[in-house]
Amino acid sequence: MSDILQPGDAHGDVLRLDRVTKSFPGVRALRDASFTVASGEVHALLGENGAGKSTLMKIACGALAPDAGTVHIGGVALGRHTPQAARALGLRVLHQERQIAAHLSVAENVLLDRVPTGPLGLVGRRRTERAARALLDELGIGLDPGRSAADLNAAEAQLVALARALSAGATVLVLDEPTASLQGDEVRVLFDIVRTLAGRGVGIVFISHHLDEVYAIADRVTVMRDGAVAGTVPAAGTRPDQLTAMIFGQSVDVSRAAVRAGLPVVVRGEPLVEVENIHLGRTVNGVSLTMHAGEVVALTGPLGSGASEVAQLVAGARGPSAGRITHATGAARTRPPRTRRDHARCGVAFLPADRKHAGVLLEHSVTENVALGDRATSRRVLLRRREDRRRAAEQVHRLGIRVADVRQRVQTLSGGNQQKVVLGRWLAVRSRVLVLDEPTAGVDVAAKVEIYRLLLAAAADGAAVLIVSSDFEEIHALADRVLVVCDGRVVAELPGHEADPHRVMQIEMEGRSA
Amino acid sequence: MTVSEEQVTAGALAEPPAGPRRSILTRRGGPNDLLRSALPLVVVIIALSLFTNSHNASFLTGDNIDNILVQSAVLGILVVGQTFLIIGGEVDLSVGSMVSFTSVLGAWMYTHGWSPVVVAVTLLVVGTGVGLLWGLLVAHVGVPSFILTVGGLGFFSSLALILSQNRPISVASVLGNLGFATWLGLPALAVIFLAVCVVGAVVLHSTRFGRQVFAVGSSEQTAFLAGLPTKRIKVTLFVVNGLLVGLAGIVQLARLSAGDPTSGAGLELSCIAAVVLGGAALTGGRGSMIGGLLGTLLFGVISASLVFLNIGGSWKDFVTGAVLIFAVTMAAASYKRGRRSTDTARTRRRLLSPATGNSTTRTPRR
Repeated sequence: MSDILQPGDAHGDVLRLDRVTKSFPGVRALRDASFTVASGEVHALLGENGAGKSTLMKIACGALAPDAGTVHIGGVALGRHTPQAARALGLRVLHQERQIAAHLSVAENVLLDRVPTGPLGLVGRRRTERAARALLDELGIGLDPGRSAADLNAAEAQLVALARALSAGATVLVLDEPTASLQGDEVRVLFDIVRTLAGRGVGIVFISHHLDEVYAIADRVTVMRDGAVAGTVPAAGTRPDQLTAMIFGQSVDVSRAAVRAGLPVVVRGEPLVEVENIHLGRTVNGVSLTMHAGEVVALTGPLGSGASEVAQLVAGARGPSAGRITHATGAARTRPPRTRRDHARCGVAFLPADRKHAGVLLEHSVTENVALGDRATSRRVLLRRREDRRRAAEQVHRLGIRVADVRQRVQTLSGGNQQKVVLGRWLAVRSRVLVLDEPTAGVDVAAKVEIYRLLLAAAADGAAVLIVSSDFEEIHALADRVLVVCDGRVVAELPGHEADPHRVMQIEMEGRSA
Repeated sequence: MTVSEEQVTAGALAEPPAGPRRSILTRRGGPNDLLRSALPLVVVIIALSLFTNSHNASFLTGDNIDNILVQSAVLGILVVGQTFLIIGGEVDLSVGSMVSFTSVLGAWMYTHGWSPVVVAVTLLVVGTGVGLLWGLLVAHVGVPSFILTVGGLGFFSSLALILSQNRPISVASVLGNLGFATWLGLPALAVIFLAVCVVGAVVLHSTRFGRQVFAVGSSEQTAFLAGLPTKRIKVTLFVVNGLLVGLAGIVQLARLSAGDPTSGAGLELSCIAAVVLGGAALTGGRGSMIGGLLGTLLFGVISASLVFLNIGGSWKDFVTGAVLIFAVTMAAASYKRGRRSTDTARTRRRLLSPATGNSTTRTPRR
């Protein structure tokens, strides 16, 4: 890391964040972070989930006010920290999910907030389409402005959103994982447009998880780690392993050896879940796997690979369109488990990726959130409040959940503690099959390691753990077996200790291009 | 009450992530939330009663209190059902028209010689059946309850008019004079009303089912993935509400000694207003039975006060409306202040999605 540049070396900076600090209840999200983008530069922003990338960009675009530090856009200080103010100074954000009004035309979407009006203040279709045409041509986007936006595919929708972001003359453009839903050719088209824009002096922030894309497009790279800037380096002349070292750092050791230190070596036990050739529409196309007691199985794959859906099927959150899932824990049942409720009663826990909306009840207490498993599985009629509180306190103690009182609302907890609450819900009802989708998304590194150790301890206690993850370090640290999923099929299986990040990434890429 | 709101705000803004918050007024969640939303209502009800009583000393007499309870009985019974629905994230706007319809149906059956027991049972069955239909359509077909029950509102108010040929059907003595009977020293209708409230409160706050309703109303996704039978819970909510609507129809018939096809008009809105006054969130997941009961009593005390203060009946809806606007504005303002710190994150998340890869994969309901 000898070639780290001091950020902010020129006056041509179109975006400059100076020593920005931001705290949330229980988390120090950003410490003293400085970040600059020069005019005409493509500046990649890298970092793990929870490293502070999104907080930094929310501050840049005015969605969050920093506790300390300043934001300059186009050389002007951002006075009021509102998205409107940042927009007025020329900052545009292209979000990762589809942001298109499906009932309008392409032209109306491009000019959404500035549809040209005629002499009477009326909107004319032909005038709108002409204006949109001009803008699209300028960007080299060959879309028919008269088309209905509902027919656009993901890539086309992305381009329309991009054109809209630029319709009012941007000086800084933030691209938040713009390639997440794009195919190879579409990525190339996007990159061409990005280069054109940079050539015209627009400063571009490129947020990505893919090192290959960073090398393809970026001039400079800033890496965030644990809420601070780990360094800013030129893309050319920095090796991938140097970047990975900056991304993961040495502060908290999430290596396989460190995470497993002091935990008993687990012998694989009896099979708990048998998945036979399951299908789900066209997303999952015949997956088979067996999960044993004491084992951690990881599923990984690119976005849309079907890995998430396999987890949902195993947990009973969805029903397979074909195939069979047998739970050893449900063997005593008279009929096979069908609904999510049946699966919960068979001891199958599910911790979804969208923790805030599908995992916890934000407005309810820790007690209530932990008790939810019991509410689903028991057959008691009356509540036993004291028993509920005792169980919640037990899980708080056992999992090291940092709360003042079990009556505290889950909303006030950090991501890691929220996840532990959901885990506690299932451990309280002695679930033996734990299914987790992105178990540590939005969890800080220290809490991550705690969650890893809790999962490994649960496995040592005889649980079978299935995780879906796009975090290669996580997979390497946790998994006994890794299944790489592409297009709804398992394309490779390898033992956990061999599943180092580079290897898995390579297999995924081969699977994606195949 | 202003003082308590201020302290709550201060407590939430300071946001100590760890460290106990022992004060009754500053801790959020748990029974103290209940106290916070119920206390202002109790104060207003007592203050208004004392004020009216100072102008007309016969206001706070046993007879008049009995009277207020009887006048509130129909609304109160509907409020119990609606509280369950709203906490569960649904709403039923057809309840007023169903009261009109069932009371007219009861009167019609009565005049055609059916026995009181058969009449009562029929009204309960009709109410429950309609509730079941709403529940199935909402839970299994996915019809939004708001618009579905607006349809029901039109359907049943019209049916009530058709069946009664636009005139109230008078009945000489209904259901063994239920409207004038006294049980345990209280008017029978008041006893029914209070009993329904007590049972409702116990089911909502002290049973597993009650907590499931809160969970479904807070986040149906979370509840489903935790293994709760979310559809069955929703159907049950509508069925219970339907049963209570049938009961309210019986009480209305007994109270008026007539089946009046317009007597239920507007009840659905008073009913929702009472539930929200009592601290429930229209978005679900929050509310209490005692709150709904107090909201009902406030409406009852307001209309009785207007009579005792010799203010014309035309002012009734004006005063009720004003109280409602004031109360919900206060509640929304204090709720917003109290949660600003935690809520900013949520509101802002909508403005810029976090860069967390595919972590927001949604799990559709089965």
